[in-house]
Amino acid sequence: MIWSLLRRRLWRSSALFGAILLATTGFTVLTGTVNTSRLQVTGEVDANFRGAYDILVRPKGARTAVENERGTVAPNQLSGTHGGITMAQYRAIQAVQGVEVAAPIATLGSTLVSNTARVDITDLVDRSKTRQLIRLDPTLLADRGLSRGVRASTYVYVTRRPLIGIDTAKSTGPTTYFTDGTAVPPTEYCDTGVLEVQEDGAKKRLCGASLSSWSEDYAGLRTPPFEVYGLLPDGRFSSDTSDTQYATDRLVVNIWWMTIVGLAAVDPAAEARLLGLDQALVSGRYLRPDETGEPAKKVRLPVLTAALPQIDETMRVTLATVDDDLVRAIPGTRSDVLHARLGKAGVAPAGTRTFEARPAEADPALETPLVIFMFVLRTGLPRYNTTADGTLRPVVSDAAPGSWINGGPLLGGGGTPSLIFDTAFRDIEVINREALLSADPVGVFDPAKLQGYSQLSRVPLETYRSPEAEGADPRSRELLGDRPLAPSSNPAGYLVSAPQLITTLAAVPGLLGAKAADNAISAVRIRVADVHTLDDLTRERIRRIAEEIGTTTGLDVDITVGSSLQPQTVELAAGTLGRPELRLTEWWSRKGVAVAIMDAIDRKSVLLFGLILVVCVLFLANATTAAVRDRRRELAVLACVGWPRHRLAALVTGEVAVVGLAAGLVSAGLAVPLSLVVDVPAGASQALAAVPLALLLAVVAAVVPAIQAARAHPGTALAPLVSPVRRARRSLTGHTVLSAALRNTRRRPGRTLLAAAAVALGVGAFTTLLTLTWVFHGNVTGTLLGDAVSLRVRAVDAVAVAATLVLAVLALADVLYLNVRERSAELATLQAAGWSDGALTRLIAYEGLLIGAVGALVGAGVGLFFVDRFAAAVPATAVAVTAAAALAGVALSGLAAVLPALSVRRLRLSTLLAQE
Amino acid sequence: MSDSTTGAGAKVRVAGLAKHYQGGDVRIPAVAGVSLEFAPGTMTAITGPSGSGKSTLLHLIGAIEAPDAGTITVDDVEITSVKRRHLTAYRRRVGFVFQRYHLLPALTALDNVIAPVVPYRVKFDKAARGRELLAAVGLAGRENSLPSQLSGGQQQRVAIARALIGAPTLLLADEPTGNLDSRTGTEILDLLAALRAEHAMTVLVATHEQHVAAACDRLIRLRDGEVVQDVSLAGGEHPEQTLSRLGGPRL
Repeated sequence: MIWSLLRRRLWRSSALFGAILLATTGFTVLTGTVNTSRLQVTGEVDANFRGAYDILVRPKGARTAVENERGTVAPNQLSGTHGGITMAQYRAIQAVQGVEVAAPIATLGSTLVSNTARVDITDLVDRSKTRQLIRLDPTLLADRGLSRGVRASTYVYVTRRPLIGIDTAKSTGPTTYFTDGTAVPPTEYCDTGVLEVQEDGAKKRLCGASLSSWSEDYAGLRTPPFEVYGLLPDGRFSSDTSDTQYATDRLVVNIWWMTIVGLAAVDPAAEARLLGLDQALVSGRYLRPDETGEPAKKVRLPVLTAALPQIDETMRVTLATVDDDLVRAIPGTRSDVLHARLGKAGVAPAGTRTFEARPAEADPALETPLVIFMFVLRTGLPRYNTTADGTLRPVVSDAAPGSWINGGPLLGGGGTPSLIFDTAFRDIEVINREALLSADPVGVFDPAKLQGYSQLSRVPLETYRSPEAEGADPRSRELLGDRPLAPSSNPAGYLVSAPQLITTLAAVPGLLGAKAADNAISAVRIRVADVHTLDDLTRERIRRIAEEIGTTTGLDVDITVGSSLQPQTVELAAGTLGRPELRLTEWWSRKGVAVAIMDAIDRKSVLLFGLILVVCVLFLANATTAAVRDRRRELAVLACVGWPRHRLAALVTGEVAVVGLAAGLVSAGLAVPLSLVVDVPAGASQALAAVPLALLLAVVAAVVPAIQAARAHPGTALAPLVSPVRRARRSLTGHTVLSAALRNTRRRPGRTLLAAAAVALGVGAFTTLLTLTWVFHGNVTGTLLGDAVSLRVRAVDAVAVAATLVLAVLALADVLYLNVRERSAELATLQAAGWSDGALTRLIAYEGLLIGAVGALVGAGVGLFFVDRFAAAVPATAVAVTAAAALAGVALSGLAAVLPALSVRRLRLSTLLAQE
Repeated sequence: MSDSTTGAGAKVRVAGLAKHYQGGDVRIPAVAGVSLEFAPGTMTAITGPSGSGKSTLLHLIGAIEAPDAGTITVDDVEITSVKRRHLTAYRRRVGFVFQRYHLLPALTALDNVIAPVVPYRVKFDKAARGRELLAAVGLAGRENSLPSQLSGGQQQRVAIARALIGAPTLLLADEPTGNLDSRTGTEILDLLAALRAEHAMTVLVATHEQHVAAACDRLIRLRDGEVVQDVSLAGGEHPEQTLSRLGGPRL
């Protein structure tokens, strides 16, 4: 009998089948998406939450106002933190239970190393000329070529005439003696030049092109180097004197410049455990923990040197040959006269050469492989002004290199690092002005070989990696040539490079003295033991350790585990060396990103799961109830002929169960291909698990109206379809189609409510889901990890939203379809009574629209309520989406009502009437 | 009680029966204090104009609706005080024929006939009895027709066969010929009369058609829910004659 009922009432069975299939499949796909989304997020987070260290301890007060306000840790902050943590505090940190590694680092300051550009100009020499002058114009380029530090030109004078050098042994007084015995009294603007033997035998001095030196002439522009080379008959070049013993085949001019490198001290054992620094060596040996300097040898610090300088600094040498007319007159010309003439000289360009800054390395010219440094200087941290949009503007300091150049043992003149004249963003303090320090480079490490950590959860590791900042707007990116801005060696620059020299903490007392050394640690990076996933327990453990460190030492403690880099816009004022103003994106570590993401996905998953459950259950209940309501008359007849209530319930149950089971199985079968299409791993097992649930729900949803139908005295259902009018109402709108539609919706409130509930469900579910997804993505994006997570689950979330939309649309269509089908006889009667097709369609459309409007309003309200409840604020987009969804819901209601009405119209009138 | 096929039909007694419908603020009495007794095996026509309470009276006696007041006693059982779930058992002893047939459109004629006994275990072969009954109402060979493939008279015959499947002792027919032409209607009434004798049932037929009453033993006329006439009809006498003999108004 059930089979006959199902088979003969195919449209009704199909509607129910479709509804259950949809609800089950929707449930499977949606829970699949939620699960997938959740798994992907937690997987991404678990794979990436851990940086090189979990907790960062800095001196008290080191955390800046900006960091506090934004929950971030600024990059490059170690460069300006010189000590502040005592050895006692460090030992207290080590003693905290659960600390696996506590690696201290002391930023000691910066020092100078020399670079030499060896410019081979042999090919520029015209061997046919007796005399020639080649000009080398060195320029230091930084900031991707935007900053130019101009240095004094170097003049190379090449002559085929014999040269007579100064007899330095005899020239101890004011008079200068030459090796041929010539004595020249002191001459203004010609103190040091050698003699050149002229064609007529006269000996004329080569005075150079130097003006008197001037204390403020840091770049040495008034005293350009003037080098004299003899071109020997055999084609070789001899320097200064005619002593051919040292003559060379190639004419190589050395232009040297100083770069500034950072010096930091670590505990070699802790550093090895934290980052595997010992494994990153490319040559030499690793530092020994107890290794100290040798005070007896002017503090020979044992150091590791970085294999790469990690600075953006290039020496560009522009070559040119000077006019012969001028060159001919050089012998015997006073240097001030020549200086003036050279300033206006005609030159022929002869190409350019560029030389990169080299890593600090031992000078092979010296007997012992030492890096010499002259002094240690300390740089402060940039200070910021904040603009209205949150952009940071580093405060410009006065560039006052003079204050620390003057008195430096070897600075001044051509040796001055030209880039220090650039606009300063940091204060500079010179310490250790007197000591002549030296270093013993025991090994070379390659920062790239340090233990790999997630790029997404990078923590500041500027000890080994120089900071970078990308252009934040097209103009800045174009200026930078689409490369990030990197530090030069200017210690007062906004970005400061990673230390190139790493020594041991044990050696610090020898450098700074015991008192200063005790307070030298700038930061302690801590790795917590047994951290594998970022679960609640682990988080709590890390928090407790951080808290204990904070309370026992009083230092500033930041939990960096689960932090991720977040872009921070920085507006860098123009520099005096030519760099225009730049808008940059710096990557600051935002703390607690992983936790926030996990919380967000947890909250979202719970909400979504609940939402999906509610949608599917209501949809199923709606569809089943509508299907059973359609059979009230049939059930009433059976009740009249003596069927007991439980049998009626069993009949409906059986019918729904058969349909439900079929739909569930088809749904399970569909799950596999569907999961392939939408890329959601919703397995058949998951779908099968949904089948009993769907069955149970369908049966419950079916039995309730069935029992209701049976409980009422059967006569009620058998009564002709003219409901008792409770009260004769005078229609305000008159007897129009619209008022008829209005009356109809009021006449059968149960049916109206059912359909309105379907619309409300669709609109509410869709807006809630879409907004939840939006809010989730909005909450997690903005950091590297968050963006990666967001990108990862975007497709899955899109599927969830689309599936909900489809479910909502079909739920609505299903209910409205059943609704109109249920009334087919009524419609046929109206048609028989003379209603035109148009009027009938309008009636149905109005009813659909009225129901849709009520449902959409309720749904939008519910949706916005949930959004308001779970999002921090209702975004304007959510309101817009809700409005759009509500409008769509109304339109859809009209459409879903009219389409079945049209199909009803096509049925034979007599058939419909006969059914009554 | 369910399978009592012996005897001469149910004895029905109605006392002070009242039922009204609420229409807005207006209370409309459908049955107002009706007391009647129907002897076993009799066939009674209940007539009256539309709205006089004929259908309501049948619905009340068939326990399809519940009365506001009064008692209905069938075979010494007061069904008005029987619990609702026991009413189902009572309803199985009652055959009901509707004006609109109310066949299940998805079921064949045979399935419709046996539908009332589908939930129960019965002593007879359901399909055989169904075929038998269909043959009895003149529809042999139409077992597998769907209601939509049958004419109105045929559908009503199926409905009558359905009413008989449970071997009722009381058959209630609410305007059984109302949707049929007079010739078919007469056939249906003749069928009912014949079946009454054969199956030993008490039959109540609500009708407003005079020729229906011709087949009955007794005629009850209702107006505004009250009995205005209650006459026994002599065998073969046309009701019109009876009425005029009794001096009542013409139908």
